Formats: sequence, structure tokens, C-alpha cells
Amino acid sequence: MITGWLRNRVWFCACFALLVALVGCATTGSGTAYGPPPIAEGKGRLMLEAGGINEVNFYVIDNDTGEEVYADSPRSAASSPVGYETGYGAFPQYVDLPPGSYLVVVNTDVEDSVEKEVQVNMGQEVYATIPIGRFQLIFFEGSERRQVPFLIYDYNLRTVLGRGMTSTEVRYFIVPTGEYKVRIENLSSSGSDEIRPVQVNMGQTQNIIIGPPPTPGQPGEGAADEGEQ
Amino acid sequence: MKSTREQARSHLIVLLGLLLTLCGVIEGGAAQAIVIDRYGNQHKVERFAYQGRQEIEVYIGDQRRMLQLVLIDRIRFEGEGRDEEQAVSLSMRSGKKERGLMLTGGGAAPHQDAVGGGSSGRRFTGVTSLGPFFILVSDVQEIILQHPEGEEVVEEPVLKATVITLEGKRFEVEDLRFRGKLRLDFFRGRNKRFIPLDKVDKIDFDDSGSAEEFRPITAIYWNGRTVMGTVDASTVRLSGETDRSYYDRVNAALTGKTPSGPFSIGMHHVKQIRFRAQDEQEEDK
Repeated sequence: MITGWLRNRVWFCACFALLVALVGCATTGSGTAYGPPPIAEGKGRLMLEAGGINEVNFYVIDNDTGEEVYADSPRSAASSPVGYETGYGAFPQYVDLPPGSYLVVVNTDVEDSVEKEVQVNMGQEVYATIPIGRFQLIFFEGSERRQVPFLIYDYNLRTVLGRGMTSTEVRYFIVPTGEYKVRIENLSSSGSDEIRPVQVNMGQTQNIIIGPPPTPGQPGEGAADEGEQ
Repeated sequence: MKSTREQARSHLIVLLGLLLTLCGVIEGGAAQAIVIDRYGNQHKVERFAYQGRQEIEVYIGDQRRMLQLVLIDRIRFEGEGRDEEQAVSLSMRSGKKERGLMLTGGGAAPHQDAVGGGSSGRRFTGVTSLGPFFILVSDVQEIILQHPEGEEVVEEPVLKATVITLEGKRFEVEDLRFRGKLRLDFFRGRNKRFIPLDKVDKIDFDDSGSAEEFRPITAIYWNGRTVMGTVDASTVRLSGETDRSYYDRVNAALTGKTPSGPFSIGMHHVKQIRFRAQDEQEEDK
């Protein structure tokens, strides 16, 4: 009985030593592991679960004091002419906070922000689900993408909720889940208005294309073919 | 035999630990509701939400409002299922009754660009004992929200304030709101923040830049805290704005009621807002 117990202990110790050796070999020497670092001592971790959108402007308010304890604003304003997607976070945004009750406020590209009350416990991760989605408005003039200002309305066009600027690059607009309309006035090509509905679901991306998108060239197509039509 | 029992006990402890961790992760305060559809069927729904959110979009007095489900006791849809917009009667937990309009999407054909087209995205979701649940808003007759017993009844405060304009005129306003909300959105640098109006003593608007797009403000809370920033006071018409939305944005940023009728004013006209303390309001009652 005792011999078996000792044998088990020896095997366990051997396996543990092997595991430690393997982990040591696997270290690349940079000191950074894959994934977020461990939770800071004495704190808990608040993670934003925003349907795969890993870059939002948000801030955290301590419910006890009413003070803002953390803020992160990686995105530029929707109406900024220089805004476009420059990269993408590999992990959801997170912040390590002392245990307590907090209000997370996520600013979107319309006037409605999304708020969540969370309770952060020491050494634990708490996920705040943020019901937001995104859309991209692509405006073509001729065969080229253009920058044009547009407005984001509620679905029945009663209230202007926000404004944006299209981009020649990839650019997403983040809004709470729901239905909206976007409007571009007085298009230079036709002089008319363009109003399009936008249905935003959590974790989904909608692309709205205004204007004729460039078609890939086909063999045999050319100016002569167009003239014949 | 003994070791098996010990193993089982350790497994149980690990499972309990996992469950406790999960309980910490699951968000509290999710609403429960009884949903009655147009055929009279009742569904008891947990984790009840509207399009994944704990608030509904309603137009009360032609003003867009986002109403938290935690404030509501009952919602009754009074239109036909095929109506795109239906009249709703709302019974609030405070006992107040409201009537408004809600977009229900019945018969609305989504645009070709709408992802998952073919049906409206307006739906209530949740979980029943049979599994995941969703119902189109146009198919709902009534919703009875069930809040935890003993929970403090949450109600929206009715704010009373004195609004002083740049010309020196004073208005005693009741139920003061900023674009239908009980909070004032402002900017600190380029970051948007909000001031809960029920916690503020007064807000001063800098008159030196009344013609500017952004006006500096200083808000002093009841607890003495001071917050500074800028508010959007633009009177420039935006490309794509309709006459009505332009008028509302510019001239009806702040709304409320006065003894002589409805009140609205633009941010570019305000000099100061002085709020009345809740205890003063209770004394008046």
C-alpha cells in the first residue's frame, strides 16, 4: 500500500519536473505570453464583450465616489475626416480595477451610449456585454471612393443621432444594436438625396454601398463594347 | 474506496468553485417578463431584452426617449400587427402612465442592403423553460415586466429648474430634459461625457462664445464637485438635415413644461440653469 503511494508520488514529481522543463523551453525570452497578462495583485479584471469589436471608446465610473477611474479612447470621432481603421485589437479591451461596483460607459458614434453596471471581484474576470454593432458606408463617385459627410438618423427620420464622414479607406461606424437610417444630401453626381436603412445586430457588420461600385474588368470589355450598348 | 470518495469530494469542490465563478460572470439585474402575443399565448421569459438591450425606444410627445426596462411595469401595444408604428401605453413602476409611439416594424420591407433581410430586426429576446425565445415586436400584444420582489422601485425624477437666458429672461421649468434625457452630454476635450441632471445644483454657460459651435460650461454638483467642459451649441445647418430635425436640434435642446405651456430652448440661448433640490420639490408638494 505504502509502496504504491510512494510510486505514485515519484511519478507525480517526475511529471511535474518534466512540465516545468517544457514550459521553460517554450519561453521565447521576450517575457510576454500569448493573451492578456495575469490580473494585477489585489484587483479584478473587467473585460468588454462587444461582439468582436475590440476597439471602442469607453470609460469607467466608480459607483461609490462618482469619479471616473479609467478611460480609453482609441477611436477618432465619426465626423473626423482623417478617421479610418488603422489596426485591430487582438483581444477584447480590459482594465484591472480594485474590487467594487462600477459603471462602464461605451461611447458610440451616435448620441446614445451603452452603459453597464458591473461588480468587480478580486482575482476574477467579469465580462460586460456591450450590445453594439457596426456598419461601413462606402460612397463611390465614378469608380473611386470619396469622402462625403452624412447623418445618422433614427429609423423614422425624426431625430439626428449623429454625423459621420465616409472614407476612402476601411472605416466602421459603431452604434448600439437597432435600426437606423443614414442620409447623404445633394449628391454631386445626381443632385439627389440618398437615404438608406441600416440594421445593426451585435457582432455583425453591414456594408452600405452608394454609387456604382467598380466592376472588375472582363476580357473583351472596353470602350468599344460600352459604345455598342 | 476512500480515495474514490475523496476524489469525488474534490471534484465537487472544483465544480462548486466553477459555478461560483460563473455566477460572478453572469450579469445581475436581467429582467423577467410575461409576453402575451396577439393570439393570447403567454410566455414567461427570463433575461428579457429588446434587441439585446435593456431599454426601449419610444416617442413620447413626439420626443425620442430611451426608456429603461427597469422603470416599466407594463407595455401594451394598441395598434394592428401590420402597422409599422404603433401606439403604446406604458405603465411605469412609479404608477405614472405614459402614452407614446413605438416602431414595431410590421409590414416594413427592409432595404436590399439590410443584412438578413426579409424580416424586421425589431424583436424581444430572452430564454424560456423550453429554450431560447424571440418574438417580433409586431406580434406582441402586451408585456408584463416582473422585477425582483423587495427591489427598490426605480423612478425617473421630475426635475424643476430655473432657466436664465442670455437676455436675462427667467423661466421656471418642470420636467427639464436635454434632448429627451435626464443628463447633459458634454465634451471634455474630444471625449464625450455626461452630467446627471438630478445631481447638479447649477450649470453656468460661458457667454463669451455664444456664437461658437461649442460653449464652455461649468457644472456644480450638489456635493460641491465641479465639472468643466463644452457643449454642442451649433446653429449651423448640417448637410442632410430636415427643417424639423434642424429646428429640434438648434431650438429644442432643452425641453420641459412651464405653467403657461410647453417649453424649449436652444443651447446657444442659455446663460444659467439652476436646479431645485429634491427636498425643496417635496416640500412644494
